[in-house]
Amino acid sequence: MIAPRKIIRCLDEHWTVIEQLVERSASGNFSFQDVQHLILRHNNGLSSEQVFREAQRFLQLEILIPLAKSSQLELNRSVLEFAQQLMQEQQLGLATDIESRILELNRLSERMKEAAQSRDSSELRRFSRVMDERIREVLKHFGQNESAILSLVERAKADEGKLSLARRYAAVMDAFDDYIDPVLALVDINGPFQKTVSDVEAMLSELLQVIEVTGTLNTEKETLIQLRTRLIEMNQVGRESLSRCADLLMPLRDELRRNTLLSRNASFLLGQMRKKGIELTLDPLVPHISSDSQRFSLGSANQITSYMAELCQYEHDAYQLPEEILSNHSMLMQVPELKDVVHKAKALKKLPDLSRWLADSYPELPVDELLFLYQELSRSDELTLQHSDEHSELTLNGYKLTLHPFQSSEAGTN
Amino acid sequence: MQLNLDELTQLAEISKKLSNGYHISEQDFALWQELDLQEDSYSALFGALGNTLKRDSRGFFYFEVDDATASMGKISRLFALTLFALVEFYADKGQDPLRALFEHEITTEIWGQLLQQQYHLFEQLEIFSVTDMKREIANRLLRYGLARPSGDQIKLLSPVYRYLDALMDVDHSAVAEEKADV
Repeated sequence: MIAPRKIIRCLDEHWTVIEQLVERSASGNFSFQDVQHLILRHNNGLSSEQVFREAQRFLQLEILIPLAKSSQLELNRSVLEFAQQLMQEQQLGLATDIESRILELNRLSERMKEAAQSRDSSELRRFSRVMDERIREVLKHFGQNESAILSLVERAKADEGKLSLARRYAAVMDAFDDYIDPVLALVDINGPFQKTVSDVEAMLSELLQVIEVTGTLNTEKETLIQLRTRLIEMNQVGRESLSRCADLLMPLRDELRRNTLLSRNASFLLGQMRKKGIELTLDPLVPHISSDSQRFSLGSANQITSYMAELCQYEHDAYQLPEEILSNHSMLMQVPELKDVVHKAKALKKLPDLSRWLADSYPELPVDELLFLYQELSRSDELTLQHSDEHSELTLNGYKLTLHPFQSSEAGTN
Repeated sequence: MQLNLDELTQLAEISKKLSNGYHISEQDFALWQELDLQEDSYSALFGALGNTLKRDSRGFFYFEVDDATASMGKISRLFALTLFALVEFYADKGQDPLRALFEHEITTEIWGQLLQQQYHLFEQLEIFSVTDMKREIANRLLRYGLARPSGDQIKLLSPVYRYLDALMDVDHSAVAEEKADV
């Protein structure tokens, strides 16, 4: 038998070493040399012999226990649990830890009822004590698991972003699946936890009522009231702790779910873009961005290209030319060449009235053309013309002219 | 509702930025604070002028528009392609995209790898090189407030969630049905 005080003194002296060993226990065992190194690191002044002696002391006090068939060491379970409890570094327990105690409570309450019926006060007291112990254990588990989940979450969040979420939160997800879910099912309103609590509470209340009425077993009344209070407390504390745990884990689980969804959808969409084309895939879902400057300017190559494309396909509206209207026949008539007219006039022996001759020779010629010819002929060097002394009148296409017409000199002599 | 324009001290700047498609997030401290404090007034004013001011709980403001012009549609597609490719890039590397998107800068090396992985898609949007990516994508991400400069690189900002939300909402079954119809 090792003296407890010695153990406690050793733990006290080397608490920093123990703390490190507790942390290391999570990842595996360690060698005697490791322990010596740790002791030396935390106690700089020690000689190597003293360090060896201190390490040996751990072994003697069974704080460290050698592994079977190995020179490696591990912390004594009791020391480990104690230290973890103190350091709030508990490991997550099992849902069945709680469940088994609940079932045990159920069983014990039956036994207690029997003891009460046979008015066996010592049995009653014994069961009451055991039940009280079980309830405390359940409470301890809830507390321990909550702090375990808290440190799990902290560790997961503090982890390097380089690891994938799934891997970082693997412990968290396990905690959810292995602990939260089953315990939630356990404490569900229709689950065994709730049923046990209300059954035991009803049994205790009934028992207390019997005691009050009959006065028997009166000495146990106080213990039973205590037990009932603790039972109700367990119910409440358990629920609260569980909901806090779920609140801690839920966001992380959600984050994982969203990330998985994101990456799955991203590769799905990239695949769709390849198959169906970018526009068809993306247009229904991309957000629209407002842009006044873009809206009113012809800026991008794309817009210019589409503008040019439209230009290429540009067609005039079909335009029907109007029918030609042949209203004035004279328009079509060939205006006689001046040269020809002079030649013709020259050929005449006698030209008593140039204007009348022109009007008679070219009756269809418009007045302006006729007057042009008249003027040109009068100036012509090839003809010798002078004004007649008498004026004459003639009507051309509705115009009435009065003039002293030119006449050839020969005509004058004749 | 009574609006006192004298109280809307940053109106000109805010209006200019928002109507050009810029997303005002918490990094634009002065503008963001002004919008945060006077959200109702700004919202009413812009609403009367025909623009819908939207506030996202993740910390940014923007104008919601129903119809995008042709060119903006192209830019938005470019952003979507880039972000979705980034999500896949990080996921392939075993990182969680949501965290990596906002924590890591987009380095030249990352641009290069994105282009390499999705060349045939970027090519269709007239992006042929990392230089194109920086000019056409990175600069525009900055211009629309979806990213901020971080040294020579850029770092994405919360307005990117508009695209991530769209990505979350992708309904595989709807697309599959559509395919079946075709």
